[in-house]
Amino acid sequence: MIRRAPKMSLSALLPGRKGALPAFLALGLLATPVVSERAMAQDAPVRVLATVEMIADVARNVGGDCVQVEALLGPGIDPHYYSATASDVTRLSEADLILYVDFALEEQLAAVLERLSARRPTIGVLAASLDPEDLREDPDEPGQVDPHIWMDASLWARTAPVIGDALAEQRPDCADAIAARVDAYTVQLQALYDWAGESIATIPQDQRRLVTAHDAFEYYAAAYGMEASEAIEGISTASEASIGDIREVADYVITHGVAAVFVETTVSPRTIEALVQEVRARGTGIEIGGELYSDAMGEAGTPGGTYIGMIYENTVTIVEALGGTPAPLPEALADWAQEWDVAP
Amino acid sequence: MTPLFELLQSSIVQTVALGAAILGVVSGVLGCFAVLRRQSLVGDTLSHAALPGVCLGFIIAGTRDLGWILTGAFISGALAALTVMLIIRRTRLKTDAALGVVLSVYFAVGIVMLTWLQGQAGAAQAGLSTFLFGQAAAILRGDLWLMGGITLAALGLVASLWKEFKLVAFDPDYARAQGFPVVALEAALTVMVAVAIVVGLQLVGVILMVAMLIAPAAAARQWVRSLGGMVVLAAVFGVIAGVGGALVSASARGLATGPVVVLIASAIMLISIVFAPRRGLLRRWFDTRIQRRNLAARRVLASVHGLAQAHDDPDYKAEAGMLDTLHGASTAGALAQLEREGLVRPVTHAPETSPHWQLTDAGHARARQQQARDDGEGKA
Repeated sequence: MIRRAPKMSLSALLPGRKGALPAFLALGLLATPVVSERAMAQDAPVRVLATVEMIADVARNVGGDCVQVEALLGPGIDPHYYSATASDVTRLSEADLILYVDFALEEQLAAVLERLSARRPTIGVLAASLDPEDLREDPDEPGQVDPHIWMDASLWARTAPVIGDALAEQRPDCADAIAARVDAYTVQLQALYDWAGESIATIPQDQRRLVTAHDAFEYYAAAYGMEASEAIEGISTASEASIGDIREVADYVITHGVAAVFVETTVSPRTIEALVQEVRARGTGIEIGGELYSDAMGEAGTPGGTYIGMIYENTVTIVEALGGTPAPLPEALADWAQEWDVAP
Repeated sequence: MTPLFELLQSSIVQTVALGAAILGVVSGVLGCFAVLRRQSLVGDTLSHAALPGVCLGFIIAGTRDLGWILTGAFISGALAALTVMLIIRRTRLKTDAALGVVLSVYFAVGIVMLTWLQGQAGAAQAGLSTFLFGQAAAILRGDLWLMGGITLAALGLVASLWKEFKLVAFDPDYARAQGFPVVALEAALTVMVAVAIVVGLQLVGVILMVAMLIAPAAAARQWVRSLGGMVVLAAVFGVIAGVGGALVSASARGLATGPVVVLIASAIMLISIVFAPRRGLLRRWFDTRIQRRNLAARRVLASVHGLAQAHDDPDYKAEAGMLDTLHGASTAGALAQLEREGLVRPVTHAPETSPHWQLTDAGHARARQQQARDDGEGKA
């Protein structure tokens, strides 16, 4: 339960292993018969409940009108820390399909999801879509995967067919439409992947280093040609940053002449602010380069509220802060850019 | 391990060490009064009760505004203190029950609010969950002014009401008889514990905060006898724990600062409880042993003296085995001690071969002295 220094999660305060209370709530709810009028209406959209918005957006894009997708965790919510409430369990148990990334991400939801998987179709998209050799390991916890795969658009694209198949299974009459949408979305994500790589390549070689609050950008760095990604906290946010952590990252920043560091929408910016104070006190200039979407997307209704926009905005923020120029958006993303009014 | 001087030059180490030192001073000083008034657990209750205030402060401000969050923490802490006092005064519940009830109710409300807020945008960024266990490493220079200001105000109040607080801490009944506003003074002391908690929230969090209140004060109580000395020493211990914790946690990755500070404070308390002169466990164990030995020696001396008197022979030679039988235990140790002090000497009593003991002149004198004193006490 405790990895490195314990920061604390709600359920860790409660007796028993993590997630004991939510699991208990889940049990209680499962015991009561949740008979709904849904009764397999063949033309009603498949009700999909995803944990994080990144998955929900894929499901929306591949499912089209055949699905009705919701996400449990909205913008700015930290999935490492989130533990299920009773109403979450109700929502989960009423969904036709439950999608999550991996228990390395939704740490506190593991017990609830495990129990629900016995009753409802439940897919951990990371394990279902990717081979172990594509995955990175958590450096602090050998054997545990780094779950932040959405940072690599080409890896994330592989979740589209898996989610598409799961949806088609529930609505066979939609199978053809879904297959077509999966193909179109995959093309878009591949174009996004290429575009991000091109944009990062405009950053001077010695500046291609990413410093963030928690270690969510290893896949990003590897995918788009950043030299390295360094962070104050580990893969999970469930650790308390120590002075030693901040000093070591400060050493890294100074040694490599990193010009900008980044805060995240789901993590308190104070650790990064403390880092900036330390670096400046040692006589080295540094800026906060902007805010990155790490474990949650932006507000719904904004470009950052889509998966493509998340990677797009992150890349623009990083490239501009580190002295590069974002490449023009490719033809494949023109529709997306037009829909969200993003200058190509 | 990074060399110490290099650590001390680092801005973040300085900031955190200074913050922890400020916390050490305020919690050490205010903790003394709490410990002396047998209200150590008030600190625990108030710190847990600060959690709903932290959440409310965030809800009202809508952003991670430290001022609002700390104000909220202080208000809900003070409200909890008031609730405890009300329960004790208005119901038949005793203090421990009142503290337990208030702690669990307020903390539960805090956890419910935290659970609700985890689903709200911005709460993760506000780092509300870090208030549970603190995040000392993320203390910023600007926070030090706030913490220092609060601490100075609290210390000023303690200094200006020193005599009154001292009286209330040691003898509230006498204070009441003297016409002091005891309720107000007690309320002030309790509310000031909430002030210390507000200072410590960011560093060690609501759950470990109580250790910072109790440990330095309890440790200081072991070494000194005056309230002034205790308060100063508790502040010093608090500073040692704070600065030490910052340095230890800075020396390697992955050592969370707040818990290390608390561990050092606890270690100081443990050392004080065992090793302090006068009140330390070791000293008391030692004293008890000496007392027991001296008592045995006195009783053996009295026996030999009594035997000599009964036989009307100052040089009477008492057989060692007989003395053992008389006392129901081995007297060898006591006799050896008396011999070292020159009060008895070993002699032989032919034809017997067993060891015998005889009083020296000094022994006679000491025995008479002892007898006179015992008689005097008996008459009195």
